[in-house]
Amino acid sequence: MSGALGDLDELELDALTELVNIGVSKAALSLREMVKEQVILSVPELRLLSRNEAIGILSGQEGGRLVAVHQVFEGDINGRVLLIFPETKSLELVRAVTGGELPLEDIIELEQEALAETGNIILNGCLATIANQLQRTLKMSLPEILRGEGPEFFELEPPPESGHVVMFLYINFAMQKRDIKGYIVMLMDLPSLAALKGLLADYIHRTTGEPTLGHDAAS
Amino acid sequence: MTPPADHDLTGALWDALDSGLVVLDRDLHIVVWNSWMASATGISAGSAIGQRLADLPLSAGVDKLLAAVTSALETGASRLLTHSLHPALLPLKTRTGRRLIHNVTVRPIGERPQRQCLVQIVDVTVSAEREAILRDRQNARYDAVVQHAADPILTMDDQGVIQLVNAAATRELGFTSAEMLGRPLTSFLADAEDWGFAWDRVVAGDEVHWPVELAVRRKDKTLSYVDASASRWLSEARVFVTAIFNDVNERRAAAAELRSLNDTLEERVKARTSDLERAHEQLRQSQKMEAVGQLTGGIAHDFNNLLTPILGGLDILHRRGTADGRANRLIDGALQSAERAKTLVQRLLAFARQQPLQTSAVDLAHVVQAMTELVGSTLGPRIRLVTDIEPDLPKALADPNQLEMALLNLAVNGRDAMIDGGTLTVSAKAGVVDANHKLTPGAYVVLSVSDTGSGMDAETLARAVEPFFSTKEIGKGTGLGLSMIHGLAAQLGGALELSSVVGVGTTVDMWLPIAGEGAPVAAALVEGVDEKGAGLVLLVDDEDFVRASTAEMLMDLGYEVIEVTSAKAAMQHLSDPRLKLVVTDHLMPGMTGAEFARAVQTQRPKLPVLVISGYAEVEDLAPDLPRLIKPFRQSELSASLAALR
Repeated sequence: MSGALGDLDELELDALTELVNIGVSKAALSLREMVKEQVILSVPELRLLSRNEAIGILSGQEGGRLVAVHQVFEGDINGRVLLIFPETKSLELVRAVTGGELPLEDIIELEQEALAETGNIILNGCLATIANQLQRTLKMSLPEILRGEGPEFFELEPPPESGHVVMFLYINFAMQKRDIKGYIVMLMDLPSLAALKGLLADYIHRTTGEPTLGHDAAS
Repeated sequence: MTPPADHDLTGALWDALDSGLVVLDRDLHIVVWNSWMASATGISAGSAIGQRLADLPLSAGVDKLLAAVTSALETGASRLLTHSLHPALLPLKTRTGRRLIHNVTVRPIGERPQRQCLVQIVDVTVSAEREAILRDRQNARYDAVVQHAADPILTMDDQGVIQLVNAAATRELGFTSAEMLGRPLTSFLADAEDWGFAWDRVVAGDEVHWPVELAVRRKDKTLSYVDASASRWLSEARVFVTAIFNDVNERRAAAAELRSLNDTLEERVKARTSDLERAHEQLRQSQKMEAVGQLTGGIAHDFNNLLTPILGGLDILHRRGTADGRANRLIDGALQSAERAKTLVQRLLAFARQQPLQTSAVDLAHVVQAMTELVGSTLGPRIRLVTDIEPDLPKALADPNQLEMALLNLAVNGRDAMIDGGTLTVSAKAGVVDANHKLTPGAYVVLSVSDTGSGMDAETLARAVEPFFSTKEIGKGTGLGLSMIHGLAAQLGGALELSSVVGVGTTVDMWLPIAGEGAPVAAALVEGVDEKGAGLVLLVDDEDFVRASTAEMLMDLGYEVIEVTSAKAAMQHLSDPRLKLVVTDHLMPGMTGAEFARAVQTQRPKLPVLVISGYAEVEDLAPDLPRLIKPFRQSELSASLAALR
């Protein structure tokens, strides 16, 4: 394992991006079943960042209030995952998943649960697929909805350790003629990142047959 | 339920739980089905356990649940299914038999590869119903206020996208709510600039000076003008803006009209001022004419009195023929001048509306017909005469002699305006005067004389009826023609109207009143008779020269004359049985001639009275009295006296 930040090499990052895309594709299928409409989810870019860099991106690019679906994951790797998008898009997202026919007051009423369920599908689909491909088990908490400017998403109880890294994924939703851009943010401690790196190496080895150093996942 | 024997406590716990608990194995067979599930579904644990979930008599929603379970077993993904997105996932009932609202979580159990899956069902009926009740109450209030509001009310999210519209909004703009929801409000505005400015401020929570006037495009592309006011509100930290549109189309229309009135104000003031100036000018002109008329009348009257002895004296001298040849020529010359002076004075009196008129009901067709030959010869060969008389014209109230004179005068004016020849049209037609005219409203006849001559410019036209105003060369006209016709028309109760276009011609319209039933028909003129008279004549005149001249004429005619200077003095002679005639001046200090004549008629009804006058009053006061107009010659006096008998 390595303590350096951004220590996933290019191959590992590509592998992770591929896994995430498999995950969100499955999530898209689940959503499609739910809304009976074509749903396309894609993760075009994945970056490993420090907390401050991530906060900078969120405040810089959005600059307004954000809404997040939050879940904790536990297993070989531990941390939090958040699906984040501008608060103004959340109603659109709800309109999209509910079919766009409901009046405003109903949508406001449904918003919390609909967001939680939708976010849960995407995050679970993503993380469970990764864990499955990596042949590991992840336990996910129930989703919670957070609202705020961005920085507070990174300072949730218990307080983060200084070495936390942020995996920052851009995600595009396209459904019901709506195009909604958001982010998936995974916060992990360094041991989890090291474990992830090892798991990714194993995965690459399994899928390409190339020899790799025998990483052993931390437990 | 039948938990494994070594799990007594666990099984008891499951059954004690206030939520649903189902465990499924990889083949989706039911392994655990707790008491809560038995109660909510009505399917006992004994019936459920060992069955495949899909085989239980549950609703179609169970497919969604099974998909989530399969996914959990295959990929290890847990899943939340909420009542919001999956209403009635399972046909669950509360203990009272009502619908049980529930959320479902699906989790794989244990380490991968998971062989079992846990399904938890949470009862959220209470909170969901509470929310529903709150919402209904809110909606009821909201509906009452918003949906029934007369003004359009629209709610936008903080991006300006319409989220809600009320009935008035769809009614006013013609769109359905579906056509408006989800679209930015600005797409309905003709000009979004003012709104954009206010919008940025209201979203930011800054103060905005409402209302902002907006032009909203209706579905039929017409514009509706509204005063918009808006306010920001928050729902769970989300910003919404609700705008109320107040219809100002009517106010705008009124304002536009006012603006247009303002814009044309200057023009209207100018027009009004010019109208006023014109009216003032007309008033000035008419006052001037009035003043000139009075002055002229006064002078003419005095001249008449002066002329009467001159003309009378010369006439007697001329008739006696006692002078030698040279003296006779001088007398003739003086007589001719006196005659011309008499004509002039009569014209002046005509203009001053003080000429004595013998009015009667006149048939204009007859007058024009009788004049055709004379007028035609006056016009000469180069001017064509056209007459156009409306058939069945009512008779006009006029003095036929003066009317003939006026017609001839107008014809001469027309001829003089047509140096190169042309057409003179004499027409007569009926005319009606309405309220907006200087004439008394009523029916009139209009005698018109039009020429195709040089015409007059506005300035000349304005002064045309002034006495002594003439465009003719000196010596070619008196400048009294139009003046006296103007005076004649006015004195008859009518009016003279001139219209002229330079190079096209001039039309003179004489408006004459229609003769009433009782108007006298024109009498044939008594021919001048020169027979000798006899008997005693009482002559009353305050002017010594006039009286002396008249007395001389009477004596020359063979009468005996008693001269008195006032009506009062004359009264003393009325009892004289020798009296054959009374001749009296009209205008005298004390009793007038007309009054005296009435007195004579009372005392001695058979005694004829002749009133001599230079004024029009006699006619006005006593149209039935025989009159002689000053100045007069002996032959005229003789004819008047002859007519008395």
